[in-house]
Amino acid sequence: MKMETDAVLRPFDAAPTALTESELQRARTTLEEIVSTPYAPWSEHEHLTSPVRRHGMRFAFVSAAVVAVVVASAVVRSDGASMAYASWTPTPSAPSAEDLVAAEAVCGDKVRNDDTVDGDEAKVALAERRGDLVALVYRTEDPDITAACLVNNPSGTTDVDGVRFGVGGSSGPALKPPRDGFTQGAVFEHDRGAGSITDGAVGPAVTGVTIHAADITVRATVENGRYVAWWPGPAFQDGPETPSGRGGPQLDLSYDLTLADGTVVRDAEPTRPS
Amino acid sequence: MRYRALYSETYRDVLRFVQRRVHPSHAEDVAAEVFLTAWRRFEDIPRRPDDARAWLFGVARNSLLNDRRAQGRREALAVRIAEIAPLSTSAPDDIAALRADVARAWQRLSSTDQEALSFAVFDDLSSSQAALVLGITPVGYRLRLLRARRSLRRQIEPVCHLTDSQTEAHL
Repeated sequence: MKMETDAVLRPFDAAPTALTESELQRARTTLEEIVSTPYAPWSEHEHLTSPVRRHGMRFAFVSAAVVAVVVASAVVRSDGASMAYASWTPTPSAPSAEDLVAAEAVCGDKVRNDDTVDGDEAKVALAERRGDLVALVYRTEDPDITAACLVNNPSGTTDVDGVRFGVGGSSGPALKPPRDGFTQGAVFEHDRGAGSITDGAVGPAVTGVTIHAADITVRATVENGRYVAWWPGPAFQDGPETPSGRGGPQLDLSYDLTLADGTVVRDAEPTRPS
Repeated sequence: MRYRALYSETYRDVLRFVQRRVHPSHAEDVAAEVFLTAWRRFEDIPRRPDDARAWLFGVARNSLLNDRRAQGRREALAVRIAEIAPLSTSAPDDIAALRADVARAWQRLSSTDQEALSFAVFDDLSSSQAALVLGITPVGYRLRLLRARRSLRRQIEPVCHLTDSQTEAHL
């Protein structure tokens, strides 16, 4: 018997040829979600191989462009004792080299042991200290992945505890912000809104980012085209009972940008895809 | 709105592409992620419909590969085939036997071979579009396809003589 290879294989297509009515309905719903909520924070997508753990930390990824997508799934987790937030300062300081070594020893392990971020590629992009707390942001640009790590590390000590760690991002490369604008990256909320951390990218003309989160005003650390900030309060409008995920919590943040010429752009909107 | 048109024209194909590669229970979630990426990167999407479709397939593939990193950083995605191919009850016995052999042979192929064959047979991609999905040159893809077809033929040759498909002739 003589047959052509493709013809032999064709009947084995595992994909149904037509969508069912319920699939069509869900497809329409998905489309409306995508196009009608361009400014909503996106959020996690359940990893195909390991369930998302939600205890303690919610996550949204409003990537450079808007809806953050996601593929890398957000696996967020926290452990350790509750942090002492009383020492928090609205203006950051740079951690010392010793602080960074101590924090990196703990956070680096988290990054390397996480399935959703490439531990070999992810590098510390930003670090900041606010009181006793040191925040590290690890990044890969393609895919656009942020791993945020917050530790309690009183200055001048090598003590590190109260680790908060989250990973989020998209499957595509990071978008570049315009010269005088910014793109909003991951937003993590931990301990039922007791604290939040966010990062993103800024254009070359942006020298400062101030974040308003409810009644808290935070001056972000801005360096090498990125910003990061941590504050002792929520990031989302909704209470912690609203889980991460599509249609999940809405951000409660606004941004002021300071440009190199001294101009302050109030309520700046993050750059979104056209 | 161009995005809506793209979604309407390609959703079914993207979902089917994913259904061939993951458990059906996950396929719609993955397709949704693909279109969220498309929304976010709309300006990056090729204007030609067939190329846009291939671009979306590439996003889907990368998404699935990212999710499987923990399982060994595979560079190719295995492709599922139907457990029982549609077959009329009046089909000759040798056809039925061939199909059983093809199903077994498919499982013995590498993920790379399955992927190369699937692009041509199930996903209906041209060589240049398949190359776009894989991020390789069209010649590189055609070489992969050639090797995949040979592998499949070796697996089932005792039952049936399979002839080259037309794309092999254009290497």
